[in-house]
Amino acid sequence: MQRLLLVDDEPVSLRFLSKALAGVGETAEARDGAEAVTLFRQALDQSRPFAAVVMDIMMPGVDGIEAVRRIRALEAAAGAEPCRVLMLSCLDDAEHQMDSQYGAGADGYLTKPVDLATLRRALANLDLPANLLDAEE
Amino acid sequence: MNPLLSPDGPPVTHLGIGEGRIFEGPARVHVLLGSCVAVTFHLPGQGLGATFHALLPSRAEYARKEAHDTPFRFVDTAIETLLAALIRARVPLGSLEIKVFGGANSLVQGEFGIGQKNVRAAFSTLALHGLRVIASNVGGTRGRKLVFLPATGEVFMKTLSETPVRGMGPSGLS
Repeated sequence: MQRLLLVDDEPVSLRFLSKALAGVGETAEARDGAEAVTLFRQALDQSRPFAAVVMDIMMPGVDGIEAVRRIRALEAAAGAEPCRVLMLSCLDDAEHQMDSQYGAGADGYLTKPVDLATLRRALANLDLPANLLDAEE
Repeated sequence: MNPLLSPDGPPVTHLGIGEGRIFEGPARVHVLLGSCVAVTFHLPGQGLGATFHALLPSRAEYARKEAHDTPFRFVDTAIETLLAALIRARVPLGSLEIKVFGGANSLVQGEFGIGQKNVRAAFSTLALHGLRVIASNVGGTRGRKLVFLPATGEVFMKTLSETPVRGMGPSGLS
């Protein structure tokens, strides 16, 4: 089963994500960017990499965009296949959406609040667990 | 398979470069994007949506001399044109669900950064109207295939394996 890393400093958000994505993969949780990077590094070291990360932005300490930058650097240093990174934030402005994707290397961006169907579709668009357009072709 | 994506689903419309429109009935809009941008608009509960397929950021900066380009060739005029049409259709702009896609960058194109400029133009033009973007999937170096369902606002997307190359024709990558 694919492993997903869910990162958010709000316990309510983590509970929602964990419940919503239980069918998509095995989930692990982090409450800030630094903890996320630590868990990501450990997963790489143990050869059990995460297939995807769902990342909040506004968190104490290391924010989500910086955490994605560090995760991409870890992958590059390890020669690992890039995981899918979906940002999930209440910030809806251009700077955060562009910096996350063009600057840090995230694969998509959703704004909160988000419903279950939208979240699952965004992950399916990143091929997690499967892309619905594959069935169309 | 999602029934809306099945062969018996809504009729398919392929949106080429420089095309855009409002959809008021059931439809399935296919768009292939490289550095181009598509912005999708959906009015929840009304079965109405709109989108376009633009090649370049702004008419003022990129219009060709003596060329009679469609407004949907440029991101800024594409958004202005669709918003004007939506206002004429009495759509409250503040109720729209708006998403931004595309803007891949590739050195192959010889115009590195045009994808990012396209996306920047989309966000800037929407911000001028006070409109928020609820989702985006932009950047990277690979093309995207979108299937937009205007009636529901859903966007199914797949990242393509090939690098976007310019000049593949109106229905090809851009």
